[in-house]
Amino acid sequence: MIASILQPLEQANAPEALHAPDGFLSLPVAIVMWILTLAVGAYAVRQTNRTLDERAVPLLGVMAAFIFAAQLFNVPVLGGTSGHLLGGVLAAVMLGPWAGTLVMTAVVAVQALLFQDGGLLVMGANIFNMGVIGTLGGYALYRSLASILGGEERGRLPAAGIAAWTSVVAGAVAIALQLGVSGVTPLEIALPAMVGAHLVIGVVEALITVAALAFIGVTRADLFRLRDAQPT
Amino acid sequence: MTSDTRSPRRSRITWVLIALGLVVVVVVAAALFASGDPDGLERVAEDLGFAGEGEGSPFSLIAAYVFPGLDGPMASIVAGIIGVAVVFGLLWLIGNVLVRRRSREG
Repeated sequence: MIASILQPLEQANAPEALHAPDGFLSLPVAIVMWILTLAVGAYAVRQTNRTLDERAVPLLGVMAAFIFAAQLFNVPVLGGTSGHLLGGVLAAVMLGPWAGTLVMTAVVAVQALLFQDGGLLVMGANIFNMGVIGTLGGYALYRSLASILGGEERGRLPAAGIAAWTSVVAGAVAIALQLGVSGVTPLEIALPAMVGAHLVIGVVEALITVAALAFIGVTRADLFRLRDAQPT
Repeated sequence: MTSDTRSPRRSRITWVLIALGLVVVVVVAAALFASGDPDGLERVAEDLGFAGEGEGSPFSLIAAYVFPGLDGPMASIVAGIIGVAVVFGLLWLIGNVLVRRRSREG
């Protein structure tokens, strides 16, 4: 009796679900998102196969492990809501957009297949919203901002922070659109609600991304060169 | 740093082990201190009344990051460490396959 009362308290810190389950999107929307994600994923495999440097392979595994672990760490943001890292911009800054896409794809797939977090039909949408938007869109923004700020060496942290924040808000816009088109909830309500919550959650993304890059910069700045290293 | 005096390969392995150790610290910290509040999407789903549309998975392995048979934070820590090992191993495998079987055309 007491044990059954205590159980929920003891479990209070366990994140139950971080990602959209099946049923949140209509079948046509889920299929379209799967096709988009598979197309990007196939191109990412091809590009990574051509350009990945052997020395970057351990970093590939470490970034995936860190992003998986950091996604478990829900941080309270405002009134009863929490946020967690997505990690797409961080992965792309370290590994480039294509290897970064593979990292995000693998993390979201393992979360769905092994931990029943995130649906199988909506996995394509989850990979796209939380991964591809950050690794492609967020990374493009990062490179533009970094070059405006005088190159990556000088502009890395502010450019990554802004790109990380933007990628989370863009991901929120994307899922709001998918929910709206699916007919699950009206777009005019879903859009402000999702964007509103993620304006703040994006700050968490920016802080963790900047902190991780700053930590790497202090301890192993040479890792920044692996992304553009030529395969040997 | 001492790593400068070691062979590159050995210092690379040392670095990976240290990094994975830090990642495990994040897993433990998450199990102990992470907020149990719903995340952004979950919160909006509850507020807008479509949270009930979510369907459970047709199967269950380590559902919701709780390792079956364990209680409290330990269930989350074991689940998290398994997840870290699986994603690291998966990417290490994919990375090695892509590097070794590099296509020479184009």
